Amino acid sequence: MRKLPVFEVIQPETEEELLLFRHKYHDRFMFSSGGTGLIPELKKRVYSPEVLISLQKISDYDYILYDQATDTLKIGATTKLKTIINSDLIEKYFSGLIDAAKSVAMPQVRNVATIGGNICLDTRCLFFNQSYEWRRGIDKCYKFGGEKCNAVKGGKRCFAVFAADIPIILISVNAKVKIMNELDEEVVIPLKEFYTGKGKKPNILKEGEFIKEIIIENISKKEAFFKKFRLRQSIDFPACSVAFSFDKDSNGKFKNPVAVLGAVDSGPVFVDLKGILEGKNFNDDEAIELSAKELEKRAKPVDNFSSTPYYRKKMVGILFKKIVQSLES
Amino acid sequence: MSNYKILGKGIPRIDTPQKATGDALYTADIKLPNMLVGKVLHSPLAHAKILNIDVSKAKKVPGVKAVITRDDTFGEKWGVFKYTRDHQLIASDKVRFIGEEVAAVAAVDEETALEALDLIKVDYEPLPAVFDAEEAMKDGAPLIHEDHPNNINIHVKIDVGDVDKAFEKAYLVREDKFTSKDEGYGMLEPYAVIAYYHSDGSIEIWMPNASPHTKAKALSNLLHIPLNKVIVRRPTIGGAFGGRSDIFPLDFITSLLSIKARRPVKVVYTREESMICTRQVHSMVMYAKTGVTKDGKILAQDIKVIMDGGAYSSTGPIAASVPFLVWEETYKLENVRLNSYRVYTNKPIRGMYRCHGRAFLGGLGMQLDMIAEELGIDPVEIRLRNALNPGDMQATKSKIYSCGLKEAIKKAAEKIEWDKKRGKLPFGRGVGIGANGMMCGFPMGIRGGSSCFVKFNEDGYPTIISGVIDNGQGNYHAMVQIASEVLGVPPEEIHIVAGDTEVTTLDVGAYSQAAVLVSGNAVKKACEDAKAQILKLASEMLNCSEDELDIENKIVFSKKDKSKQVPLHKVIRKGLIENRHVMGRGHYMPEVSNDREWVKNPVGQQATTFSFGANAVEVEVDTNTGEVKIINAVGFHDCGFPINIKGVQGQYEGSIASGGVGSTLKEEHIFKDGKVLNADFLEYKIPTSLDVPENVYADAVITNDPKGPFGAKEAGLFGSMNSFQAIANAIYDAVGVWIKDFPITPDKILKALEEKRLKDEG
Repeated sequence: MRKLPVFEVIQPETEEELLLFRHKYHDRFMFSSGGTGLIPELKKRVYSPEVLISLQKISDYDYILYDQATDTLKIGATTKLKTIINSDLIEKYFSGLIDAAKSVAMPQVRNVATIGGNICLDTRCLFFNQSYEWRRGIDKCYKFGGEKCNAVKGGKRCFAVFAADIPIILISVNAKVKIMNELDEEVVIPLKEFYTGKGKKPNILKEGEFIKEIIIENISKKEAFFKKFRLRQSIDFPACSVAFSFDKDSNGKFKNPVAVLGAVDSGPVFVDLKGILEGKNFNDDEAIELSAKELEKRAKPVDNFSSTPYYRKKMVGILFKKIVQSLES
Repeated sequence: MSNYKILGKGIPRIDTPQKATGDALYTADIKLPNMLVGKVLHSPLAHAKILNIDVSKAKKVPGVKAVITRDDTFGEKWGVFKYTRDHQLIASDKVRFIGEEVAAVAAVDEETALEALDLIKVDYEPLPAVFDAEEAMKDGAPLIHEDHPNNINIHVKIDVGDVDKAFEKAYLVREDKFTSKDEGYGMLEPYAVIAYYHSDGSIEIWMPNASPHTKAKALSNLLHIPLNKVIVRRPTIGGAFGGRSDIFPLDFITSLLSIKARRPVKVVYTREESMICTRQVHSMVMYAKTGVTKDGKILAQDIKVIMDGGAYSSTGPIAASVPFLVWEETYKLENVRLNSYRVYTNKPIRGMYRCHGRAFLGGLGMQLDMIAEELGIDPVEIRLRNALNPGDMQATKSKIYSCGLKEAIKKAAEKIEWDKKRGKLPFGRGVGIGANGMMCGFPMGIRGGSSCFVKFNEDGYPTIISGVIDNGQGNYHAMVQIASEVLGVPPEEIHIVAGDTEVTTLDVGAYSQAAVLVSGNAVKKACEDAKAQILKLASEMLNCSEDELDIENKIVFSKKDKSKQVPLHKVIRKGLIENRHVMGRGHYMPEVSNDREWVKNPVGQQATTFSFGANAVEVEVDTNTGEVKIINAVGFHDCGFPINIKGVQGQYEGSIASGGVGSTLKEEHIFKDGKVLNADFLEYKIPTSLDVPENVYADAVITNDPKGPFGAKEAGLFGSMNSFQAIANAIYDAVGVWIKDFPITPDKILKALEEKRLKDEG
């Protein structure tokens, strides 16, 4: 049994308190939202903060709103995955998000895990998410501030995997995130630009910055789908995942088709399929096959995660085809 | 089924309420006054000389009460057999795998212990290491134990009949290679030990175990404490699956810490430590050459298997033999040769496993089906043609008594609707079958038997005292149900004291499928002895002959005249006042050839009797992804007679989950340079409840074994030992590819399907 190390836990209840604490503890703390991804890693001493600022008690960021006038869906960052799964609004306007949320871990995790936490999930690697004892006797890798990659021989960068389920479907519908920056200002940016694509530091958040809200505009004009492959039907992170979206009411033809891949690189892989699929019928096998091939080509998994790179690459195309097949029926 | 009052029925287990309410105490739950927390320092290197260990700084940390290293031992080595004593249980001259125990600390709390561990300085001189068993056997490979050339730990050689000549007569000969990856056990309970050394020189120890008396014997040797002072207590145990039968370094280390600190010490291993520092499961490579007649009868078989045993012997000779023994317990093999090598590598130690031998048994089962196909014989039929019968002699000379193998095969085939489905389902769906026999016990010399006492209190309630141990499979309940049948006392009114070496006598343990046969026979005899004493006393009270008396629901009554009856407690009280205390005594020694030896003489009666079973599955393979789903699983088990039918069915359900979904389809340890990359339940893929099949049917084939208590035999291992072949064969039926490497993960199926497609297209 592994115990948590000693650290201080701060639980602000309002945004005001939160802002105060994040300045007070400056560079000695980590945020914890649901904590489901973080706690096991703290036990293993993968991260060793002196202070944990928990967002669990702040009710300000727990909401799902839909504004008819602007056709915009707004989700507070600490909204629990379970809330999303049970939300009629989400079911009505963005059911693909429910599929993605349902695929996260297992019910016990989804009861506490939050959408903001999933968006901010750190990249993972079989050589990084290991205990302090396990890491004795091997060199520090890039992600631990070292000068080598332990997973890929001679690797010139960190290959840790972008393993979050929710962000790829959000990116596929051009979702934006509202960030509270260092100066206590709210900044809205496309989620796609939130990610760096770098294993070592997967997002652009600076020390003390956090996400407040997820904004999805023109949501009723989009169709979005999500599929994930994992080795078991529960618990597991994706071995790979695919989100696919296009404009609604296109009469059985693709309009503005976009795919986003998860768990096959250090960031979400955005693939604009306009060049291949635009205007094509849902049952255009040739175009669909070409698209699947394109996705496989864009997936760049290495041997540092569940299953084999060969298979994860293959599965990207297969998952995509499964999504398209479901459209036809 | 029978006229038994209690046996055969599916009654709830006596230990269910404790487990369901959380009342059951597992080792990690137990707290003793003044207890210290222990932590172990493990080797970060796979192979290295230890030049120096400096613990001076660690000792100075406030709160540290004991630090131990190799210097605190008597230098004794342990091994299950005299000739396998290669393990000192705390590294002495060198370390041989990443994770080997080097030093340990006991302190007032975990933080202090961890702080002290960091201050222990070990100087190593790294040595070249080897992580592949076939590589390790090559000349020039680094030697892990200097006295074992080519790193061969155990070589079991069996040569029966005239194999070469028989091959000449064969109509068809096939040669195949099958492999399987390193595996883990996945007991949910993390390994934990509490040791409490007392000033009278005795030591109490709690740990999950599958044989308290074996643990006690090893600790007695290593600590130089006589056996009557080594008291292995009985906690509730959260699973063993073969992986708790041996002595582990932590048992010894925690004892040393307590002896040094003179206080109780508890060490609870992390999941990572549990998966690396207790036991793992052998990976293997098997080369099988089989020759058959035109009608599919096995004429000759030549098998070579190389098992990766890791750094030490553990149960090596047993592990090297069991897959073959299971095979010879299933089919007639008149000419057969085995060369089984268990090889040392710089990997964690490998032990026995409930699903041990997936490349071996799964491989031979697959090969049998390949042969059947080439000859145009149905897989069910080829099994029936080769299956053993009652009265047959196995290849290495064990006689078969009761045997319902053929009946089990036929029933499994019928239940899965074999004739309607095999080769006839749409592409992507298929059925497969597997079968095996299973020894009820091994020859273990003085350790092979069991004894039991029964005592009665003045209120007429009995207590059964038996050395049997229960790891979760229901052994305590089985004993109580047997006692209940004999004594005429309802199961819930019987108390059992078991698995505590302070009061129980030597017992065989729960790792050779012997508990029901051996411990059960001892319990039965003890209860019969007590019953005879009771009936004698009662006959005097009722003025009739003992023969006409029986007991039911704690009433002694005449079968001839029901008005003649007396409550049991009155009989007991009569015994007490007349100095004729009712004390039942029974012991049982299995009928095996005690000169049979795993390596030197693998010939003779291996077990008193054998159980049999067959298992058929229907699978659905997603031809796009290669994923396999088990739609239906049916198992028929010749367990002689089911003591508790629910227990037999539960064992099959577990077998399909662990041996079927887990071992066959999902589980493997991933290594890089001797380091385990997935020593946790996130990345080590034991099946979740969503991964196991919903439709599972199991029933018993009743053969009433002449040796077993009430005809009962082993009831656990048929599904786990033959799911590999059933599922692999079903996958072939579904999509036409053989996957010869376990686990059969979707990537392998997809790749094979692509290769097949390319081949079919020319």
